[in-house]
Amino acid sequence: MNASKVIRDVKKNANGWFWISLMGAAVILLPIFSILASLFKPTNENWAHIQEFLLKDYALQTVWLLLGTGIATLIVGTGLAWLVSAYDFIGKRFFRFAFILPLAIPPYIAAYTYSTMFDYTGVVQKTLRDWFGYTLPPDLIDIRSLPGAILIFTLFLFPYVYMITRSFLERQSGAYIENARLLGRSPAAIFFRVVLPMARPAIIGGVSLVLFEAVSDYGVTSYFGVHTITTAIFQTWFGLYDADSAVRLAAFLMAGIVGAFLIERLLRARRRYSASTSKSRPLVQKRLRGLGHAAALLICGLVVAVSFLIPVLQLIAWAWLTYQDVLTAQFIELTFNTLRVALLATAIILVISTTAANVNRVQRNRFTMILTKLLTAGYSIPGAILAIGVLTLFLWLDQQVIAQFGTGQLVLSMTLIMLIVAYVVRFMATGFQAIEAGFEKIGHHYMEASRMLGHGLTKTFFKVDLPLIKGALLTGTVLTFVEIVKELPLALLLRPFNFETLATKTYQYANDEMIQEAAVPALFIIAVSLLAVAVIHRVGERTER
Amino acid sequence: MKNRLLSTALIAVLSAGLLAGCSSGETNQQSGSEPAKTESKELNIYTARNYAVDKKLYENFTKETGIKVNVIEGKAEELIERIKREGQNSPADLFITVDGGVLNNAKVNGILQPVTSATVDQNVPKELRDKDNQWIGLSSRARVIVYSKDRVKPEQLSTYEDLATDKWKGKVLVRSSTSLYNQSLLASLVELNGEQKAEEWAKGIATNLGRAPEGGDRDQAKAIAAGQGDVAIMNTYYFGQMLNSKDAEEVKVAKQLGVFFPNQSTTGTHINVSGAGLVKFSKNKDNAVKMIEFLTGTESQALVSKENFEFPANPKAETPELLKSWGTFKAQQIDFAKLGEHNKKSLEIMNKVGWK
Amino acid sequence: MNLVQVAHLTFGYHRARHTLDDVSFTVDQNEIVGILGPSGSGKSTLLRLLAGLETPTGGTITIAGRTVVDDSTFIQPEHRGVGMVFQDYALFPHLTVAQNVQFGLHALSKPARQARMKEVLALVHLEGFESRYPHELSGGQQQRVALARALAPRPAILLMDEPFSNLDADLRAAIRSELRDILKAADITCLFVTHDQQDVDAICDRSITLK
Repeated sequence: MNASKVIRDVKKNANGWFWISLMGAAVILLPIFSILASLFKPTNENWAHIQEFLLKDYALQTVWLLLGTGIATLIVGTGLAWLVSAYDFIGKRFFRFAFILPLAIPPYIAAYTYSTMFDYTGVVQKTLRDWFGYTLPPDLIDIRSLPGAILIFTLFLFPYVYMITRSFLERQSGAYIENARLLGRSPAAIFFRVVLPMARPAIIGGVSLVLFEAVSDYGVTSYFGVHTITTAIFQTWFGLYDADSAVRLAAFLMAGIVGAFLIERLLRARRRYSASTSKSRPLVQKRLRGLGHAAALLICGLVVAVSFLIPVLQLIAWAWLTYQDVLTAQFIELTFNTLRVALLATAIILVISTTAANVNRVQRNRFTMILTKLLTAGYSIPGAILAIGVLTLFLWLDQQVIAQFGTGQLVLSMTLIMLIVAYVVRFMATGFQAIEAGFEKIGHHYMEASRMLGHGLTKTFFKVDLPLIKGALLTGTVLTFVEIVKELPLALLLRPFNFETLATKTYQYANDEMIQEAAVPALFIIAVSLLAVAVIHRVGERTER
Repeated sequence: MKNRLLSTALIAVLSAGLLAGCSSGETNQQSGSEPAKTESKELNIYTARNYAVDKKLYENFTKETGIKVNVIEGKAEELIERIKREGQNSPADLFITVDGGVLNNAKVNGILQPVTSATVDQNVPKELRDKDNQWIGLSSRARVIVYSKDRVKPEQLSTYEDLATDKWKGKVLVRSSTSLYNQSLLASLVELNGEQKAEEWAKGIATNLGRAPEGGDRDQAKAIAAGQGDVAIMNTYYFGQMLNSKDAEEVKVAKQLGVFFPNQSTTGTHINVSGAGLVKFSKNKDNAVKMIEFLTGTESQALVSKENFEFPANPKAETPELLKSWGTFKAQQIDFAKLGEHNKKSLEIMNKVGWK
Repeated sequence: MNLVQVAHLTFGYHRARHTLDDVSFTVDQNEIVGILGPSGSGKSTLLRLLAGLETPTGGTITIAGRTVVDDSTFIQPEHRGVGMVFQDYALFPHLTVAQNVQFGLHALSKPARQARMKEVLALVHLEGFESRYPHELSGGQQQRVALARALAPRPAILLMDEPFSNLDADLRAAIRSELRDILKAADITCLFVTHDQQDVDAICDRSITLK
């Protein structure tokens, strides 16, 4: 390639979109690189111990956790998405919406709730004891275990897979599925041979969000005594007092995960999954009857009960015991704080991820692909480690300010900007995956047609792409907003003075094993998230018509 | 045209939001780090203690002195890391946390400086202060043995060491090695009995467990009630909370259990100390010292003890009935700095012997 | 006069397997030229290179006397004055037929836009379908909307990618002759990709075959 060609290609691609996503990338990548940089620092004497005792066993448990959670959410998420988009049955409209609700419950709250419900003083054993005189063998139900953790993650994270897959199935090419039906394939065969492969990009997007969340979780795993790489990271930091090695371990984790997804992308780049056809139309739904109908109702009812109703009712019961001590006027401020940071960060995330996803789609080269994958890397590392990266960046910026103006005061790192940037870095993935799936769904041809009719990239985006990806955009907004409302470690470490959110308030009690007291702020979190889900669901319903 | 309007509006909303974010941050900032003046009316606390009673104390302090208290709450190690990275520009004046090992870690990391105050020296006995006064103990909790009143007689209990012998096989309950409380306990045994003995002990505990370690301290007590073991190692603090829980069933469980202070005839019961450290680059040093004096005063101490079931650091402070009912006990007499020093070793031991 | 000049055009990600290798040809004003070749011979890629939807690895394309791509130039697709009918038509599903056709007429005033829309819809015999949405039309009608939409801004050249591939056989024969009439009436230069010699015989003035 000669120089003039290089200049030509740079000129061709370097438009406003490109610069905005590059700027967004810089903000996001600096903290991530500051963590990755630790891979190149010399190791200290703790490293040998970590390798000998922490890595092997913990890596293995991490693999089991991810495998179990991945497969289970895949089955539950795609199964339910298929059920509500291909069939019609009583209460379908309700279930279609209700399957999103578990997202409103932070997994660590669910973990505390379920394990307390099932332990000796919990409602299950108490009822059996007091009403039936039956004492459960203590080892029969052991929620605090690896399978328990998989169960919790599945119940409360499957909506990621469900939402993205459903929105794909409901709009994409009913033709393919109807074809398969006409060819006389059984529903199972259609599901496995047609639906799963076709929805692969959507499913991978959803499952990867779940896996990111599970691998970087500390709340559930440490409480359940499951040893993952992330618990090893915190043991290194809090037990060996070695923050450097902890960051290093996190860097390995992140590099591994980003690597895995890059490989997946490169493998996928060879095939085209987005049926580029503009003739996609919604699937005609089959009315369920008889036994099938009953089975569908039973499954849907069960899922909604265990993933939403039961834990919420239990939390309400606990809150009833404690609200007089816990609930104060301060909750208005807490709710307002939570909303403010969540809305702001969500807006920024959506602008950057839409821009970056569009650039990646238009330019389709390795550089933009790797760049966009790195943009989403923040989701794969534990929040507390990411917090160090963001803190390092902001303190460095502050040092520059101090050197310039000699104020001797920290400016940026004492403001909410630091926390908001951290949220953006961490949750870029949720916005980005949803939007990328939306772009994949509409394919390239509409954009190309628009450009052939004389509209530039920006006009094309607003006139053609935006109306067509509206659904995906809404999905991305809910997912991101709810994630931020639930988020804990970043809020804990990076907030400015006297700034509390609903999540930090919940932590204050839950950390101290006071689940009954924690129920009050936890219910506030759930209420705020539910409101977001419901509002956006209504808007979504309207625009779909 | 409409689109341009839309995008302009979007950008306007975004930047307005950002500004709102900044400005609210700035107000915090102004209140956050006043330059070091003698008449400064502010105090910035980084604390890992998230208790309602602590907030009450800060409010009382403001009422009494007119000094405004700003707080960042977080996990201890994260706060240490933050102060460390903020360096000489750190706005932090006081660092407050639970556990002597962590306090010592803060000292080792060079983020603290000595407190010079006759009042503090008078309020808090020497063994609950850092030897250079870089941190001052505020309260303590004992890590005791809790037992089933039905199945175990207190006479059968004696020491921590005894729990590692064959006679408790399958009967011991304790939470996981990720718990700082367990790391500190083992660290104290490393100091008292030597590394080899401590490792044998940890191995004994790991083999005697009634079930794999899981849950928190309260969960160990519940596991006794469920019959998964007869004795549990847990903090008095959590036991006190259970007795006062809003959940009647938890109270019922706690009432079936007895509290035993081990090692009374030997090395003493292991205690965890909460403490406050004066941050090295504090800009409001006088106020910070004033706060430590206030927190260690008899009135504040009695309040903490009453609401949080902790043992006061100031021996003159009043303790609640519950704590009195447990009687007085002999505490381990060791330098808390040693806990920090041995913490790493103890974690290594636990990993080695398979204490999950 | 040569309206389109393609010289030494090369395209391919891997040096060993070029999709297009040193392709050169010219197209005259008002000519309808068919591009023939088996599948995989790079017919569609050739159209996409002309349209600016792909960047060649080497060679030059000139349209109406202006170099649109060479080693140091790249004119964006929206500035090339090229119209295209996609194989799947790519009609915007959220817009009506009228809105689809007017989409490329943003430079005109509103009345002029309306007039031009009516004019091209009349040309393709779709009067009265203005307020329909694409999914309410048959395949043949969709194709004619796509054609009208591409013709509306009066491009210098029209590119058509396998326009008949989505139509059934009897419809095909009818539409072939109709298409030739429409193109001649529109007075347009057209490049036309197909794998069917019959299409070329019925519609085109001449053809180019890619290996």
